[in-house]
Amino acid sequence: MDNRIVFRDVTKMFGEKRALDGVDIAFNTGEIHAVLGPNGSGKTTMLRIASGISRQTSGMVSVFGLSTEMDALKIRGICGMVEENPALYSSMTVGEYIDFLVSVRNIDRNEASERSESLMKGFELGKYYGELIGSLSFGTKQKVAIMAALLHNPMAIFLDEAYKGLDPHSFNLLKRLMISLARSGRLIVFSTHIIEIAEAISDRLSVILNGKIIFSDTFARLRENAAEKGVSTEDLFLSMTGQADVDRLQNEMMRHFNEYKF
Amino acid sequence: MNISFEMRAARQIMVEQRYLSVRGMVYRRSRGKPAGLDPRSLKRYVRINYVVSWISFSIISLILFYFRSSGAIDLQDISNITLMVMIYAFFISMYNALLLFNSVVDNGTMRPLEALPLGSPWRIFAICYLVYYGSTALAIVIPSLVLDYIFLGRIAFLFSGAIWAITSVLAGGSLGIWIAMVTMGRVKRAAGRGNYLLGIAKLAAIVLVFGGFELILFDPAILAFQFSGIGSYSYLTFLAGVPYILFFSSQSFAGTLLNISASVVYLLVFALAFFEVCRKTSPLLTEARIISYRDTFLNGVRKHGVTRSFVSKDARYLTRNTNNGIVMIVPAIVAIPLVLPFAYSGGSVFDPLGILLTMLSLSAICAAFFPVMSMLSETEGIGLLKSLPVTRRQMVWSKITLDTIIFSVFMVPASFFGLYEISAPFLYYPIIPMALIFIFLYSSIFNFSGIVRKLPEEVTRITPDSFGGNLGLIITFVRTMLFTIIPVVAGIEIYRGISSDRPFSIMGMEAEILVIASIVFIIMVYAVFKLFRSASGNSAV
Repeated sequence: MDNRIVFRDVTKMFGEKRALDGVDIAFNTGEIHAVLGPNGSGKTTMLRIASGISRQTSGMVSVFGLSTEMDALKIRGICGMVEENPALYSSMTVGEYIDFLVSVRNIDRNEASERSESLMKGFELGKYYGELIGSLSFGTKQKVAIMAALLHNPMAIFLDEAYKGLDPHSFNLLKRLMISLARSGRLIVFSTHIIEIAEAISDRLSVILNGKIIFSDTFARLRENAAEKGVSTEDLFLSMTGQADVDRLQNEMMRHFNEYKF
Repeated sequence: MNISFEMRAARQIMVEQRYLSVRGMVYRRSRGKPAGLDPRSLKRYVRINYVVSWISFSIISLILFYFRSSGAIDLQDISNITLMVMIYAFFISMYNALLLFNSVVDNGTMRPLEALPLGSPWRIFAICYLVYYGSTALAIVIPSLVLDYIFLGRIAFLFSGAIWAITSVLAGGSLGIWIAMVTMGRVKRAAGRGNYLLGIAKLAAIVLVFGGFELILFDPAILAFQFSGIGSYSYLTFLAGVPYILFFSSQSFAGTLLNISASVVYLLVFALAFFEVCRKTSPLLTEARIISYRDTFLNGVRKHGVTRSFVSKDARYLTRNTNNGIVMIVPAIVAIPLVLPFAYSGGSVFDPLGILLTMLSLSAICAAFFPVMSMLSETEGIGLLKSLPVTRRQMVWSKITLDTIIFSVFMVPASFFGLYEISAPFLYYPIIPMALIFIFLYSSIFNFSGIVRKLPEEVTRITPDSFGGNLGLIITFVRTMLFTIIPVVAGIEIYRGISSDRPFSIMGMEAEILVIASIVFIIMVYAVFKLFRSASGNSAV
């Protein structure tokens, strides 16, 4: 079995809009790969294709040797995805939702019991076990979605802005868990547009802009590039994505606000 | 607040509902060019859906008028027709109000208004209902009223009738919103067996209420008869008093004035009631739906088969919120009076072919609406299913299983009752319920294969508009009736070809029905086999 996820010349169209434009990239097992880019750059689309949820319009995607076009069900079986706005059944309790996933994913009952108990303890979800998901806060729903993505012991984990809404404890736990899972041979890809988060936990990063990969290498290489140009990694990232003129934009915007004097 | 802003906001809510359901629908091609989500097409859809609702409700009105006015028409017939269309408008309005409330709350379409300095978002909800739903329900009454006026020639009747039509819409809307608020599931216990049974009991109570509605529509004189002896006290009986007020009271100037005054008083009372009920929706429209708690703790996970897991999930969706159950069964109940007169040939006379056609109609009506309604239970969960290793066939099969259970629970006892009433031979008792369930399965599979194909690849949420709203429901209904009737007509024709009109009986059962039913069975099994293989195959959801 191939131990990588490979995109070759992948394009994804939404009507006339090109969300991915000839993407060539590889994600390796044992690594945490950060995908950075501004809003609407194509990060979510790439992760959804890699996890078998969406299909590319053209090009080839191989997930551990499986084709996203032919083997979507098998890919979904070995991948876990946490979406930015997680899709959950509001009329189920957290406990019922776990039972549902265990049944549909055909996870061994004992294994699932132990894993779900430890995840619920870690993310402090025990007290919500009997509560309807519809009544939970956004952050708690996000924790439920993270637990759901890990319950079946996936080979690849995709996190699309998954830290949004998490409290400091859960965020810290998620970061550590991702590092440990990657070291245990899993493939982890997460998307963000905040470079500090990516820098803190990832081994490699790719920058995506308007559906095209404009940088893909290690963080060490990004730091070298930044040092050569005498800027911070964040400024380098902003200049890559055409968002460097923040000062000018801020001054321009402030011209339209009055000063309040009390 | 500015009324033009409220009208715009109300229209935006309708557009938003449509948008949520078609967010992923971006692969349609027109003239060879890929078409994305065009904001104008969303607004156009809202307009088209409105016009189609008007036309289809007008057709319903004319169909009802046609069946009740065959032969020489007298004042009693006209009074029955008027009462029937008023009751129909009342129930449709109640259903529309429930559907709108559920949809707005479930999809959070009014939440963006929360951040705006609006004092009363309920007014926007009320406008939504009155403009986009209530006014279409008037189409059920108006064509029938005009025809009544042509027969009667009383202009005052037209005026009072119009007032009563609006009153029916307001009263139905008030009741629908009130039921939605009361049963929206804000309970402190959610998942116990007791609550599960309570949900089923509530559904059964609702079916009984709608059963009464069916009876009145079948013979409006039942209701009018109950109040025929109370004369002028009819002014105190809402809707049931309509025949007396409009037709049988004094037609003198003073009498007409009294009738119009009474009609206006009812209109004002229900207008007030409607706005008062809408006012009460304010805190519910923008907050999360259900706040529930169950005192259970982690005690190991439970693992079932895929079908059972899906069935349990959907059963919870239906029983934890009575609104969802109502939304599922009402379209079928409302459609039954339209079709039964075609099939039910008459009274207590035992007619095997009539029974077969009646059973076919009932099964096909339920199967026309249940698939769309049970797909609604996925709401945003469809996004989750797309990340799970679940095939379309698994999803469809589990939904058919639950739908068939619900259908059987209500229809099998009803069929026993019907057979007993017409003194059918004993052999019919096991055969008819089995035929009912089989035809339901056939029609369900047929419809599921159609609606699953309609789901956009990138869909993240299912709403009533995912399948075309009212227009989609009407198309599904007509298509189902056609494709159920085709095997029956084929069966009858084949039977005529082989029997040479020499009827004989088997164990008291007419050979005619046995032969036709067998042929229909074979045709349907073949169709189901082909459909199930091709449409909802092993591809991922």
